[in-house]
Amino acid sequence: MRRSRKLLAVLSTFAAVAAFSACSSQGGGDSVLTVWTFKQSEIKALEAAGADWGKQNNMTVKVSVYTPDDAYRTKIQAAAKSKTLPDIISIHSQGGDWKLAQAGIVQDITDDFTSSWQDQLLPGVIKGATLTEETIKNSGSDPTTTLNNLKAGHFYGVPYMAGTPGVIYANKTLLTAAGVDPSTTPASWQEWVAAIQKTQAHDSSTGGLATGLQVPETGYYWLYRPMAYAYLGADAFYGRQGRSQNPSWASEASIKTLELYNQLTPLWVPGVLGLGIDQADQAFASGKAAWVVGGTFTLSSLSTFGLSPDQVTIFPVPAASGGVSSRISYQASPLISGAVSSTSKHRAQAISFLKYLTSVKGATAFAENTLDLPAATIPVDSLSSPLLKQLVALVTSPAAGQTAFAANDFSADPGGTVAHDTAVQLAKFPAKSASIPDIANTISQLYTSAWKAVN
Amino acid sequence: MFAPYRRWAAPRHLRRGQWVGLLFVAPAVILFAVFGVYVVVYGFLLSFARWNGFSPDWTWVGVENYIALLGGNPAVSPKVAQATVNTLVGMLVLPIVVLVLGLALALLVNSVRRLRGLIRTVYFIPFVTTGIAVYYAWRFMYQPDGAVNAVLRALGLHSLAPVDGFLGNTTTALAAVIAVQVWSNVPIAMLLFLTGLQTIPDGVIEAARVDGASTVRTIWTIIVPLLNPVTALVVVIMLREALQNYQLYLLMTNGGPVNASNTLGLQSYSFAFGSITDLGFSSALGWLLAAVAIILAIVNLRVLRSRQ
Repeated sequence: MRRSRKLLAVLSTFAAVAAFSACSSQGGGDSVLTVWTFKQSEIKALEAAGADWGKQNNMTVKVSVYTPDDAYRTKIQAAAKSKTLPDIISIHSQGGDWKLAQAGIVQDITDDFTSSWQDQLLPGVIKGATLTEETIKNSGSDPTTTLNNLKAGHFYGVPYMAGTPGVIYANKTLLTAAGVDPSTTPASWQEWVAAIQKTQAHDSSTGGLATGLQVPETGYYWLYRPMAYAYLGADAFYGRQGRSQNPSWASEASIKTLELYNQLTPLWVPGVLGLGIDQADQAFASGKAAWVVGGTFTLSSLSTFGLSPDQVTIFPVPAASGGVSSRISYQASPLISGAVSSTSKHRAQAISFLKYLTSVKGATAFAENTLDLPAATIPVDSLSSPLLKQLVALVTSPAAGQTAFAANDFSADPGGTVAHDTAVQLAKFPAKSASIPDIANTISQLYTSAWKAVN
Repeated sequence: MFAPYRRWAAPRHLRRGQWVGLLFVAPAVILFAVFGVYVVVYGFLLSFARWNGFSPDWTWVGVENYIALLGGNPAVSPKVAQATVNTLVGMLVLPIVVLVLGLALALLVNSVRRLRGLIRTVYFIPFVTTGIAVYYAWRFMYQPDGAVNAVLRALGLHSLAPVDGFLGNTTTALAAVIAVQVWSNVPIAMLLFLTGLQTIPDGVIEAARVDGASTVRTIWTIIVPLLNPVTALVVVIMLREALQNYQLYLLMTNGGPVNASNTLGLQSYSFAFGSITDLGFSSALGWLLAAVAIILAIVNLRVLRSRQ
């Protein structure tokens, strides 16, 4: 009798512990909508939106953050295995959302993401978030990259943060001290290079250009690609990355773009190859670099580092004269999407929350809280930050008669690591470790191998 | 009929006692089974599959991952080849430098009569303090305007102070990270050698001195051979460190600039958590590293044992 009581007590304890741990891992009950994000700067905005939406819907929104990216990825992988996923997973758009959908971790939300809802978003965002036949085809059959379970034209997440890379931030004080007029935006790549030469000649330690080149993609995605797009024109730019590599990376025009990029080699701040993205922003914010290349998303980072908006002027990476386009304009690309997990018991509520987050009210509050661009179209005048207003204008006012550059569109690329490998090759310019023809030929070979792997 | 009954009864009696023993060791066995055996078997099986960590199923590929890593895949092999060269540099430099510095410091500390405990503690500080904060501190010191360049410039050695700092330069990044590895591992080598030195009978050293042996000769022909077991241990530890430590490289350079400080350990991490997640490649590379480490340890121990 006594033994059976003890056994009962032990079993009850185990049951209680199991019940508690199940509750804590899933993080909520019927009235709690769980949201995971990987961006610390978003917590306040998501919680504020959650509080407002929760009042109207009689629910509580619980936001959890897991950083850095690799820890977040591991968290999702583990939660998918143990079926303890949250209702909404924040994920990188144009890739991250599709990868989770391919694995069955997030749901197809095409039917809910109606055209009237899509119309609320910035021009370019929907185009970027739409999975195309070309992207599926180019993802190949490799089990780690393929998207062949997905359907073209379908949506697997709702973009709520948008933006574009290719934005240059300049320190007005340092520019003025070097005799560069900060109120005049350089009209061409060549003019911009001349301006950096001036600031660097004035002070070689602080007059240079910074970006987080320890992550080689920054130089490639944020600087080279916009410049090359304008110089080569859309057809040649995407053709170079395509199956036929037409024109080749080693062609005359392509070599010219590499030469233009190489003009920056002596103009980087000392030690730029050792700088991470945050460190580069910090160097700029603390006056150790006169220029920093980033994106619309850099403003919130600079603000965190205490930079006053009055000290900064911004403009997009300028087009080089002599190329196909004399001016480059951007369209907003979807940057972060909210995806509804496949195990969510609150699908309707999750969709409703994402709808609120991309409404004018929700998106305006999101922008004010994060100093980042929301994916939804909002009245610019409602924003308090003058720089944020400029950034919104940057992606909503394309040059007349010109197709805006979708900076995060890699649909013409073969699947795999070719973009990263190309970025590493381009980092050889600031490292001064290879010649222009060598780099061009190596990139060409990388693309040939990558396409062979896809075929 | 009787004998079999006795044979059956005796173990039954013992089983009651065994159950208690088994209950006591069960937590340790379960922990080892889950965190040891299961993980090792899981990782080994994964090395024969392709998996991005998200998809519900693995794709079995046999030994293709190993073939790809060893030169059969142009998208993977060049990275592994460069990481191999960098790792080999570490495997060569780290054991030699740590051995020399560790032994020298141990001899120095052993010869000191006063404050030996304090000095030993001071020299051991790098080992107990190494971690994220210290690696970040080194990163700051290696910056273009960091402490290392400042000291070099103050000494008039401007040509040795890289304009881009030590970590922003392809020619110095690997050496700079290995230097931090040396700094953080010399103390453990010193402590091991010190322990070894204290086991050498004073009479042996005295006899050598009486026979007229110089200090250098005493060290080279008497102390060093007697410390062979410790040397073997230090070499094995340093080879493991050079092969498998990726955290230091991840935090200080992330393998850059331009893969100049990428090592096999870091490459394995990058396969698992990089731009394209491929846990199959990561696992296969991890097993290759483990195999190399085991072979080197066996060779090293055999060579030193044959010299004894």
